Amino acid sequence: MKSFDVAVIGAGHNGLAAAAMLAKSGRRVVVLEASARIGGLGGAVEFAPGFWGSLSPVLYRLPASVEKALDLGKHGFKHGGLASTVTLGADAPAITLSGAWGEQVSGVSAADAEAYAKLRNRLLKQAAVLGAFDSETPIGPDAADLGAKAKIARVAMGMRMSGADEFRQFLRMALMCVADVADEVLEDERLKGLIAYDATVGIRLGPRSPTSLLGLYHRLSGDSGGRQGGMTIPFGGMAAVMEAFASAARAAGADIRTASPVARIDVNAGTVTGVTLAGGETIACRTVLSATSPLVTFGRLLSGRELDAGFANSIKSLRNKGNVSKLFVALDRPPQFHGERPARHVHAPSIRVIEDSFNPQKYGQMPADPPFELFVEQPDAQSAKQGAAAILSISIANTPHDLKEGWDKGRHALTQAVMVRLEAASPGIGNHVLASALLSPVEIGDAFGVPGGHWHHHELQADRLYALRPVFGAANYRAPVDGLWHCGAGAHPGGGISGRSGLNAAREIIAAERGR
Amino acid sequence: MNIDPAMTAAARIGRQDHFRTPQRLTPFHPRLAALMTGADWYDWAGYAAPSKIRDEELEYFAIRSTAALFDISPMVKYRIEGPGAVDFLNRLTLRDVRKLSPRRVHYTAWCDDEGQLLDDGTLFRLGEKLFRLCCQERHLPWLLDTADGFEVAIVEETDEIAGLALQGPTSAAILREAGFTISTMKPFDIATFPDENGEVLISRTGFTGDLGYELFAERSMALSLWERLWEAGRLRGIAAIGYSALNRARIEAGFILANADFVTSEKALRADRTRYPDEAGLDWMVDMAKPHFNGKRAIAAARAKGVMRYALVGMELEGNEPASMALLYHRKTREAGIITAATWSPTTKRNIAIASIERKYAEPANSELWAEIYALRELRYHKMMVRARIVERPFLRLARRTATPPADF
Repeated sequence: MKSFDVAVIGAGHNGLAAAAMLAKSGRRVVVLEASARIGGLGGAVEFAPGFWGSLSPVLYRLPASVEKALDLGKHGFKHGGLASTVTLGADAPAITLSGAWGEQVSGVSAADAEAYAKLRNRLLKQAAVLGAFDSETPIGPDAADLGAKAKIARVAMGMRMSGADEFRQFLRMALMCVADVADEVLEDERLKGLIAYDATVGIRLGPRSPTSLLGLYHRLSGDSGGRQGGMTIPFGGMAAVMEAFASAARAAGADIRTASPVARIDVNAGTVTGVTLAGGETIACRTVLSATSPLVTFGRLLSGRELDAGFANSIKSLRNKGNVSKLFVALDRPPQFHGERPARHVHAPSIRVIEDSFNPQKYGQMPADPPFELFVEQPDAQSAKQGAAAILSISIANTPHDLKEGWDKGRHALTQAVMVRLEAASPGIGNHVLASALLSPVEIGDAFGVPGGHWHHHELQADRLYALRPVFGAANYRAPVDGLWHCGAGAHPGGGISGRSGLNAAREIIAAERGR
Repeated sequence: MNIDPAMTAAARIGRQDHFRTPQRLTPFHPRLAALMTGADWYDWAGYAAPSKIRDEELEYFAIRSTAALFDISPMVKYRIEGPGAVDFLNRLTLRDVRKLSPRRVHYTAWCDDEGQLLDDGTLFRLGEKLFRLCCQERHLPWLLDTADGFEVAIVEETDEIAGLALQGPTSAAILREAGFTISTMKPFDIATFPDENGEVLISRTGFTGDLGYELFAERSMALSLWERLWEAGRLRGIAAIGYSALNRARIEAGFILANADFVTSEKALRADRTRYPDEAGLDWMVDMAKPHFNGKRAIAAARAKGVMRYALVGMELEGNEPASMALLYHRKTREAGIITAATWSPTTKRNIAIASIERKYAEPANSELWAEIYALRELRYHKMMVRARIVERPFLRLARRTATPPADF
């Protein structure tokens, strides 16, 4: 039997990125994926027989440095052009933010366009300060983390050097709600809605919730297509991106095994000895990197008996209930939405509409008019063969995981609420639907092995960032078991397809094992 | 578990009427109050408990010369039961519970994730899957967190179970006189005896370092049990005592007390006030060979890195002035620690103390320690700097404590 140095649990982008780096370092690596396909939340979904779509259709934080580290270009990855953001709806003219998060704005007054440009500039600068930490390992409980402390000092100093006024602005704004920030300088309700949507989607905060601006920082801290704030729709859908990650891992020598669910992480006397698969096979190795949700790693794969009660309890308390649903619609002709391509179409006509949909979801109720964003994907070969001309991948915000009426009832009303908006934006679209399916947060969680179905595995909020992500003491990718490491959206720097936490974790593993 | 999910919120709130009784009374309160000449009560875990009944000296000598009856009902008690009880307790505590036989007791302690002491206490193994944990502080949330994933039920039974400590040379004779056949019980043994109203559980344990027993029974049986012992002890010098006398005996025996000799990590407000077991003289308890337990990694790491900063030591001081809370200085100049408990030991005729000191001063070569004592004498402090020597704990070893069968004093 082949033996391995490292077992990576989960073939999502972080697991694959880490596997590639670890294999490159000369380690024998096996990646164990529970489902039949690689890609995790970034993978393709067969939402109806023969129809495929991407759960996450867009890249907004896959920077050139990651592409280069993994040589993704050589493995078939290519960014699409920068996608613009367009308001969805019949009201003409639509607002279009083109370039990277609205380098040019159309559809608003000249005053708003100018105010937006200033705000955008400021937000991008502020987000870049936080983004500088994405590729860093957070400070751990060990007081000797001099490198990480020096980095914080350096970034703070750099921020201060950019001027007292901007520094004060940053301190003032960092924990504000996005609605107040937008209201301060903008008039146009639809433009404010677009900004508030980007800040709150995927997080359980409304535009008027304190700290909701942090969500926007996360969105803007990354870059894609070489542009901060940029957003690209990859050629071949996200499945092709995941294939490039997998190809990079394989080329470096990693074995990737799908349909190989790990049943448990084996530990003896506080040290990892390997993993046991659901089928009973045991893979012995000295290092295990778990790239799945921390709730799975520490709550299911590891016996609670191997963990201190305080740690286990803090993991159990992570807020992991997602509130974004996915609606896939296969059409037999392309939709007639406003705006140039590639584009993201957003239904978030005002801050009020978002807040009004945020309120009922707090109490487990379905909002009547939830905000959503829509991407038009090119159908893959199989979907095209069935007559699909376009696949709509729609993320619907503020749809509660714990829906009181139950998702069996709720899915129909939710689908209708979205279809009504699509009909208004592209009259007659309902007559061209070949297939459609709605995935609730519960179903997303079940299908991808992420309890709660949360975009970021658990809330990406002020109390769960950097050294506090997922919990203090484990933010440096180390688990409190020797030889066990973890990465993924639940670790720093959170979700969005970037491979960052995987790369960070791999770097830490290599450094820790040096000279062993 | 104490929380019944089926209970409505209103019922739960309705049951939480503890605030109406700021201080509770133990089942023995009527007897204690009747014997008490003053009204010297203190608060022990929410219960009124006597500091002294009549006279501290006489009560102390009851412990060492005849028999002392001390109400331990306020001691926090948890009933822990289920197929997962052993594994749960092994996760919770420092010692290996698998080595504790049924009907035996052991002294143990438990820590948080950081390896800082949460409390110490005694663990009674009442049966294969049934335990009672006795301690100073309340811990139900921590116990329930630790019990996650174990098939075990945990209920606080402090109020339901009455407890009495009967300590002193004649204690065994009194129990025999009262009809309890305890002669073959070895230290830390448990036995149960039928009583007209139920069952009395007796363990050969105590907090005095003397021959002694602890008795537990349902609250409803408390007064009849008291009468039974009181009657049997009439000719053997039985006396009810308060905490002041017990405290002197426990210092002689070298026993430590949570939130007196160390600050528990749940109570501590300052990060550096908590203690590793090794810093409270409990390193012998930490069983690194058993399965994972709370704080194991932190303790192992602290040992490996040598970051333990404190030591708990027994001390003998010059003179006869008890040095409670006195500062300790190395060579009269550098602050080295604090005395946490002190007394003039009537039995050994020594001025003894328990102290928490910086670890380096526990080294023999480095231990020239002096205690700064301020003795208040009629509105003037007599300031003394007396030599304090580190000595072995316990300060007092009595052969009768462990002799089996116990002598018939």
